[in-house]
Amino acid sequence: MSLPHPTAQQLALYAGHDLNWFHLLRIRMHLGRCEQCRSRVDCQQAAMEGLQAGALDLPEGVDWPMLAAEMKANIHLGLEAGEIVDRVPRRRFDPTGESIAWRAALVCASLAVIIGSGWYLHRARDPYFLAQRPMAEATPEGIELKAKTSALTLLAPATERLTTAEIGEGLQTRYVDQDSGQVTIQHVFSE
Amino acid sequence: MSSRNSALLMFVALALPAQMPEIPLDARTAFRVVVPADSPVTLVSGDWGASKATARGGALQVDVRGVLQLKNSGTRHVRGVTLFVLAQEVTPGGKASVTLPSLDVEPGESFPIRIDLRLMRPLAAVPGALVEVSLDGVLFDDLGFYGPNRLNSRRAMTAWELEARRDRKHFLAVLGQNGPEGLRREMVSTLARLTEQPRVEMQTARLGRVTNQPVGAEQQMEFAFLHLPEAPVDLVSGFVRVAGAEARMPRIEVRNRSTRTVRSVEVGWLLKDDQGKQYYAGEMPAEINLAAGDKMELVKDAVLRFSKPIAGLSAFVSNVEFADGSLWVPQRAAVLPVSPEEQRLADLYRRKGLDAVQTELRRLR
Repeated sequence: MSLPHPTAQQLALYAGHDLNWFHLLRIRMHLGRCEQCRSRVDCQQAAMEGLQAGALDLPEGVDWPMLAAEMKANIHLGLEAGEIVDRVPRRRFDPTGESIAWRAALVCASLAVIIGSGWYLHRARDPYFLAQRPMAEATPEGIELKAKTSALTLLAPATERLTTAEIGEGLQTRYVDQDSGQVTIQHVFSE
Repeated sequence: MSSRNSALLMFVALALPAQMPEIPLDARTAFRVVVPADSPVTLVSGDWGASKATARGGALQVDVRGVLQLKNSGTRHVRGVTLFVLAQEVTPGGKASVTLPSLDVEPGESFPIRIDLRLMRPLAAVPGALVEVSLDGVLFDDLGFYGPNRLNSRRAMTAWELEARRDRKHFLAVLGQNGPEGLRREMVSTLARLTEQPRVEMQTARLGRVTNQPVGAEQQMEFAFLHLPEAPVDLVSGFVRVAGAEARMPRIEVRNRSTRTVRSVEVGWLLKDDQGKQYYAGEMPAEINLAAGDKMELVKDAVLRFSKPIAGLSAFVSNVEFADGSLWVPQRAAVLPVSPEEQRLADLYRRKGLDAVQTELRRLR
């Protein structure tokens, strides 16, 4: 039993090494027995080699200087058109231009809103801030009297400092002044 | 504006707080010291040279570094001085004081008082002095007092002076009985107690009409009282509302067991944290008028907030002032807090040794 002849397209693909392994094997077996098809493949391969050899040669009668001038003009035209088209989007989206400053400002403003909201909500939860009464507080620097927009801090050395509360009155801290050797007692009064 | 300029402006805006532009301060108008003409303590000089003001955004930060030289112009030894510090912008009620107890200033002698404070206020100018310092009181060696006493400094300085005399008497007795080595042990023990006292963060304020509940479950915690047999005022019962690290609205019932009317009483608080550590938290002063044998309840619409949860509270009577102006302070006890004089003597021992403490005790005998 003989296999049917491959189609012209299959032979062309075979000549160009573009078939998968199954079809390649089947056609190769057929070519081993069919002189007619083998000659057609040879013609296909000769034509392909001819095309590849002449691909880099310019056609006869081509005016290269004129063609080059036309290509340059088209390139310049394309660049100018591109600039016009890009001008608006570049201002809006270019990450390396001015927009970076506005983006940073937008981020800072957003952060400020978030931090401000958190601060306000924290204050709102604190009944003493709600009352807007002065509050006495021990801080790393000393004892502080905080009011709505102001603060008074009595400064004292961090070491050797004893801080206690005057309940309902304020805070007291005492330390020994290292220059004079005297005990110094400071008070802040919240009322 | 180019992108480079925009970025530069943003950098400058962000860096402004760090740059802290300094604003010139005129010490003659920024600070005022008021000493009455008839005062037994007079102002020799006031040095505010290291003070400065810096802008911080929309606020003005004033760092006050002052040293006042005062002179004892009277005829008695000065044992204590309290200065009233008023910063007009920190109102309402914004006031502070600086006290030097345990002094021994002879007539004609000068002594320094350091005023180190920081003010933060809106940048807008306010007329008048930024800080006004005035004399609130002077205590003499005979327990006499001079001054307007707006901060009740007479009672406080008298109590500290009585405690100082009590402690010096105790240390002299130890020195007599156990010699220098006994006194050394006392000083080392005091330094250890000072070191053990934790540096807790705390806040306090008046509650006023505020009715907001604190965050967390609130419970009523009863005080445990330290019984001092010689105390003229008994602590009968008391409790405070506690929620976590916050104590509010303390109520303590007291009874006058003396034969004299009591004008004021201070109740000391010892706080135990959740790790079982007990430390001196402060005092609750109360102006009262309690006749002999009577009882009354002391109530403070105040809140006290610590950095650690409160596991227990103890209280004791730390001083009592009678209607005639005399004061009672408790005898020395290990459970009571270190007095200012004890702190001073222990620091003297640490810096200059045992001989300096002995000399000081004998000088003030």
